[in-house]
Amino acid sequence: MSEPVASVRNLSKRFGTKEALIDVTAEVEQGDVIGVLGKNGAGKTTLLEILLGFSPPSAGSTMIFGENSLQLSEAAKARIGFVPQQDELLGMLSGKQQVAIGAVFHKRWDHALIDRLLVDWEVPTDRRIHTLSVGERQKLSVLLALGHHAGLLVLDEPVASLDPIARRRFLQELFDVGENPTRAVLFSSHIVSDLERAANKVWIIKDGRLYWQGYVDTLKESVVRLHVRARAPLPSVVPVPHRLACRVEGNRATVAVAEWSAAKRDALAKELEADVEVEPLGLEEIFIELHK
Amino acid sequence: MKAVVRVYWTFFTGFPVQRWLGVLGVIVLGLGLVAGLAGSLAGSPLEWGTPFGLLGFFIFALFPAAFAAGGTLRALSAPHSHRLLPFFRVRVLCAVVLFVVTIAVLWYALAAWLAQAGRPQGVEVAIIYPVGALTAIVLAMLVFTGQPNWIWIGLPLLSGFMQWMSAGGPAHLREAGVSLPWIVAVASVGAWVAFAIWYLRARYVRPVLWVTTADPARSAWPWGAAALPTELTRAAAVRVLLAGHVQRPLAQQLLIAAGIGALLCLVAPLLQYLPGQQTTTPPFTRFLWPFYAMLIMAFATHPLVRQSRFLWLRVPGARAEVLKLVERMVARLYARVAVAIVTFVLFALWVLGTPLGEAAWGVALMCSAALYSACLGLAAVRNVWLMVVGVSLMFIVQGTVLALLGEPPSALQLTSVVAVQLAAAAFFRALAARRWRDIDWLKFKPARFGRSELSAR
Repeated sequence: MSEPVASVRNLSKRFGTKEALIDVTAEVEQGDVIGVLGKNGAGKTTLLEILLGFSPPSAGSTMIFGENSLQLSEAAKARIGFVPQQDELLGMLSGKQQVAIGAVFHKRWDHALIDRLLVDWEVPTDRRIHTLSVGERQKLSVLLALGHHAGLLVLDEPVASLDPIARRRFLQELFDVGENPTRAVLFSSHIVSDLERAANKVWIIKDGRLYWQGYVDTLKESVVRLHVRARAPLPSVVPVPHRLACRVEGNRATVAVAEWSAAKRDALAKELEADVEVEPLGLEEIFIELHK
Repeated sequence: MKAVVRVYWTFFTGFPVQRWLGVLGVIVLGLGLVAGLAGSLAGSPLEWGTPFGLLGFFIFALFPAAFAAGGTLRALSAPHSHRLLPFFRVRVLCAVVLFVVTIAVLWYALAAWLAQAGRPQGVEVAIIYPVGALTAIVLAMLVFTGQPNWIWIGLPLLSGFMQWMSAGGPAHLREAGVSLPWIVAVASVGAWVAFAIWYLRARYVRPVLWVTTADPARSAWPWGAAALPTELTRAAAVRVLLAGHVQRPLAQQLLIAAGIGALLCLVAPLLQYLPGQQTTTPPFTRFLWPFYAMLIMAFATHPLVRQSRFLWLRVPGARAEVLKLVERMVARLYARVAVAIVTFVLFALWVLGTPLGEAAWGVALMCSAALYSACLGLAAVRNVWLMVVGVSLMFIVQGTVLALLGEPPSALQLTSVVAVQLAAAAFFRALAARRWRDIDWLKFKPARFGRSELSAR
């Protein structure tokens, strides 16, 4: 098994008295496209920036390409592409100048790719960046992370300000990257439908803890909604293991459960003396159920 | 009325530091009362309480509130959404006038107290001059917080204006029998009327642009920017990332700095032609010049240090490698400031006939002050407070030694100031090396737009 592209071991981060991250352990492997999900303030940006070495952890460690994130070599840094949550472009430069500045730090800069994407994504290159719209700035910011074919692409809410067409183009680029088995992508987004389309794995952060990590399909199989119809009235809380949420009306109940498997259905039906119907959930619904 | 009072109260409490200093000022004023009571037992209540009263007034009212009011006014006026509030600007205007009146009344009460203590004050000292000074401070800070570059023009203009007024003001008005207090009173009212006319009609008020946290390119001088070279090197790209714009080659920058230094010195003799003005520039051994040099370097260094986040994923190795590049950039900035200082002083020797000894001390004082604030800026990588405290402390040291302890300062005084600055510079350089080991760029980020720390209560 090859060495992970990035790893986080028992990572904790404290800001004063606030625990932003608590004992997070995870790995990014080659070929992974990982979507990071969490509510506002859950710790997504903190996790991504600590992983990249912008911020020292309070406890634990982070590695990228086998090196400590706080002391990355030139070779390791050259293989990282990063799009911060708030773009870090220089307002006084033109788009063209900003691209030139980005290119000078990378020996493998793909000028042809960036020139093509600048046209395809309709990014104005002659105007000063401070005159561009938020969406145009974000497109430029994403392009700058793609130019050197990074082995690890870290994107912190890259599509928040993009229009649907730009978002679709961005996702297409992400699919292209995802098809390359030697590269890995880690991206956070609140647009769960995009994440569901692009990611093969998901990390869910809740209250600073890595609440769930694994394949998207596994998560979707694991978290379901049960529609229970019993012959007698049900108790106010239906006794189902790993219950996330429950709504009871007489002899009917709707229960969201985690760690579900098809084998549990018959046992539950027998225990409750009820018909149990299983409804698969989309990622967005799962996210909402997990946060109820 | 309720809205006016809320805005008015924001002028005293808008910035967190105001609230802390406000509490401290009230405590000191309370101590003044206690000292007054204790003094009354000894037969001289006012003598005992006066120092506390003066100190409390300055801590509570003048320094935090008056100097913050311009920024508060701008921060309140800039958001477009505030314009949708009914009569918002009229209310802000009423509140700021009420604020100025409050401070003036507080000063008047203090003047009356001093008068009882046997130090009678005329109406001009008790009311007119304080209102004039407050008007100048509030409106100047309004301008400076919108575009910090005005500080470099505004501060010399203000100090020149003060010097001119203290010399009696416009000669022809004086000869016509118009007294200085009258001129100050009319000028103050005129300034507020002019401001009100502009303020009520202005379509847009620029947001606050703190010089220490803003994108450095936004406060760069127009002549500082150049075109991107066709053969861009990594070193040049690093400088662009730190400065926020494409810089001219170092030789050109130094030449421009020398030109600015010479120009400043050539402008000074022109002041002699102002009516009533007799002096040229204040002596170089005064605290004014090192303080200017310290401010220039502090304002240049801190935003640049904030930009260092941009280098992290582009520079191999640990944080110490980023510090090295930032230090190199600070050294270039320092070279520019030092060249401007030396040219300025050399021209003063030639054009103004400044004595050689004074010129030499001037260079030493200004260069050590600039070095001090450069090292302080490198160490201030957690927030801006170390910078604010460091500059304020050195302001007090310089002010005490160079302005208050005898005029002109002795060689011992001058040497001690230079020695303190160099020792403090070495200390902050060592602190910077230590702090950069765990600099947290998640918190210490470049501020892209003017960040306001104002929070209305």
